Amino acid sequence: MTTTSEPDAEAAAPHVAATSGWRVVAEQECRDMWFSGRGPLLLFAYSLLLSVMTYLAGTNQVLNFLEQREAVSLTVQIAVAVGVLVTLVVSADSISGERERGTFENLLLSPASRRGIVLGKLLGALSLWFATFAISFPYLWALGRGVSLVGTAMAVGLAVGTILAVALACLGMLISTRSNSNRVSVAVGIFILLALFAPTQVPAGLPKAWFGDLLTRVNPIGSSLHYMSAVLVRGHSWSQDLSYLVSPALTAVLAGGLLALRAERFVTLRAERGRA
Amino acid sequence: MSDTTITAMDLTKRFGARTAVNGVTFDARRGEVVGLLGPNGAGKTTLIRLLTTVLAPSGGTFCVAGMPGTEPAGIRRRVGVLPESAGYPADQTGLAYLRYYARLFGRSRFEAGKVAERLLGEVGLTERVRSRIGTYSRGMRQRLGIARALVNQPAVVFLDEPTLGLDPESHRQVLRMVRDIASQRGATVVLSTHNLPDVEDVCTTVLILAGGRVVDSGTVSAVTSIAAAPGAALIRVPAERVGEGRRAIADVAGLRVEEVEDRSDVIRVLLAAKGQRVDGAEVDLNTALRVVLSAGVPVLSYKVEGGRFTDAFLAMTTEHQR
Amino acid sequence: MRRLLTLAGLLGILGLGGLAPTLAHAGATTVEMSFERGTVDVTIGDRFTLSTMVENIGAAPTEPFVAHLNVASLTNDVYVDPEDWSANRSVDLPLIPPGARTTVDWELQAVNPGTFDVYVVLLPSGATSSPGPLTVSPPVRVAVAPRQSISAGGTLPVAVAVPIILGLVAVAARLRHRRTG
Repeated sequence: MTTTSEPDAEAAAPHVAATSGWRVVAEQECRDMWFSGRGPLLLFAYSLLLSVMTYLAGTNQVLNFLEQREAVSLTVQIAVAVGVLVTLVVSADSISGERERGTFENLLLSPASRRGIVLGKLLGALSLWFATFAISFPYLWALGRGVSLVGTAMAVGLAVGTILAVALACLGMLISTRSNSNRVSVAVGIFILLALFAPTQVPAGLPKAWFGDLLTRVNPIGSSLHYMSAVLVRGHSWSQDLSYLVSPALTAVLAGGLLALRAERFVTLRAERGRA
Repeated sequence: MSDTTITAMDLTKRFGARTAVNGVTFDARRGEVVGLLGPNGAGKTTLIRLLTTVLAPSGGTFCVAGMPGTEPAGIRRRVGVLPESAGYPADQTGLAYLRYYARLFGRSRFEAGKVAERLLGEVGLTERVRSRIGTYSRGMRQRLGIARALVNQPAVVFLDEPTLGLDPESHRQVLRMVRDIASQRGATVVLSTHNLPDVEDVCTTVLILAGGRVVDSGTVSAVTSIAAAPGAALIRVPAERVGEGRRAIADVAGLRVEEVEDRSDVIRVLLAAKGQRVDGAEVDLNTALRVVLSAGVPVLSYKVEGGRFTDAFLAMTTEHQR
Repeated sequence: MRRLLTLAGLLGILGLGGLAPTLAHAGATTVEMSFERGTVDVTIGDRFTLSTMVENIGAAPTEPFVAHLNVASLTNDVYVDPEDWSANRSVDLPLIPPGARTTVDWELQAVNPGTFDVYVVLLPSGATSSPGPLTVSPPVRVAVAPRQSISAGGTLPVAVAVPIILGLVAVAARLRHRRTG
């Protein structure tokens, strides 16, 4: 057993390594997610949920037009909710989980920049969002074809859900960079998600003062669900309630911006208070 | 092109009130195997993490493989590291793992596969390339880690406790790899280890840390001789001439004779005091040998007891802790 | 002769009374509203447009008005939320000079099956406007035919096929992963 040297021509090209790190990391994250069987299993479980819901909608013989639109809207909302939930969980585990498993040091020793590592892992997490939402397409078609809502439901769900998924993935990753335990970071992420979802469960019939509307607009999940419901159920145009998308878009920009600017300080071997 | 591959000037790392590395200054050259020694908590792993840019220093400067510390990505492209507590993804195969890192270091997909297969062959894992790392033994994982440290043809290789927990055969294999990395690849190897015989075996220079500071550095033999470790010589003579030999030695100022239990033919000689001179020469243990021979007493064997590197190391680090 | 005059007077009163629902007295002006059609036949989900013509038949310009669209259900057990039929149901009308007319288009979608009356009400707008009688348009009779577009039979293939396919993919991925070991 010997170690031998190679001709200089086989040496790695430094420039190539510096710029494509995020691509390699993203590819590896997707491989780990989808080829290990975890991702497909998740999609299978999700499809069972949607199948039950879709079948129940179909067996409702008294379904009138509006309820069918609401069924489509509900399916879109569930697709978005489950999609951002799994994206958040995966991104919350992305850095703290590697720290805990001891595999992070080797990654930090590669030429991939800290920002590249963050971007690659974000893309890996977002692959879950896109896959989850794609699975909902046949269900939306089955539910929405009678009310000419399929295209609109897919488009609005994809657009709004992607903004929300990016926002929550960035948030999850920020939490992950500040934690050495993936249990803590995942728990914090899920708690934040539940806290954002809870106000959306207030009965719609209750009168909302200006504070209620402000709360909805400030909450990225609440405002996204409100927007989708307005377009799909109430038939509003895409531009009519666009102001409700400010909150998720701003969350995405702020969280993503913070990650990009502070990657060198946050993406370290251990999450430390102050300078590592 | 300079042969110096590592330069550290006053390198310091503080974690809050605790100083883990305190003003470390040293350099290393191509082809050297630098033994990085010290008791637990001496700062060895922290020093390696500073030089490999995993941690940012609190003070001082350094340069590794021609790249200054201000260009961490450049350093990372040129070094290979086997961290002490390296974890491996249990669900990946060894081949997939090495291919990933080869790609991170800029190889194309095809090249990465070739490099990974070759390196796995070099470290003796050809038959396990497609097995999941979760099924590897500890020795296999260490070898995989060494392969990963070599994936980018590094100019400097840092190995943090590579032989920890290995069986004797694996231990031997790893040491052989360490020698080959330096001799055949011309790389500088920094070997952090607790295993002092390994250092005597493999290292060309040593850097001894204690409490975050450098207590000594240099070649193995130089460090040993500088340490002034308490030594003794064992001189075996015919049993009937032991008394004659003892009397000859006892006449020399600076030497002391002790009895050896159960060995009536052995004279144990110690240095009683430093700085004594006889015939213009400084008195050392070899002086005892000369005077016994001068007295006409046949010497059957002569062995220096202590004065080994192990003793030098223990003396230095214990003294520092006092 | 006296009988003829009385008859004419009675006819005149009846005529004016018949026209009363389309006349609005707001101060000194009157407006008249009408739709371009009186009936609409659609199927549930269909979108359609109604145009309301508002004409100032008085001698002075109209005061500011808000035209508001309403949908009333004529079918038992069918509850209508007009907001579901049309997103924009209130339109501010500009001042209409005497003899001029303005048209307001309403976009609607039939979201309930049954029979409905769609009508427009003119409301005085602005704080300074004095409350007066409302002007209501004649109704448009909208008949919406039901359509059950989804059923258990329609959704069952999707509800069964998708999990089966994904389940097979998950099992295959897991087996492939286990084979490397």
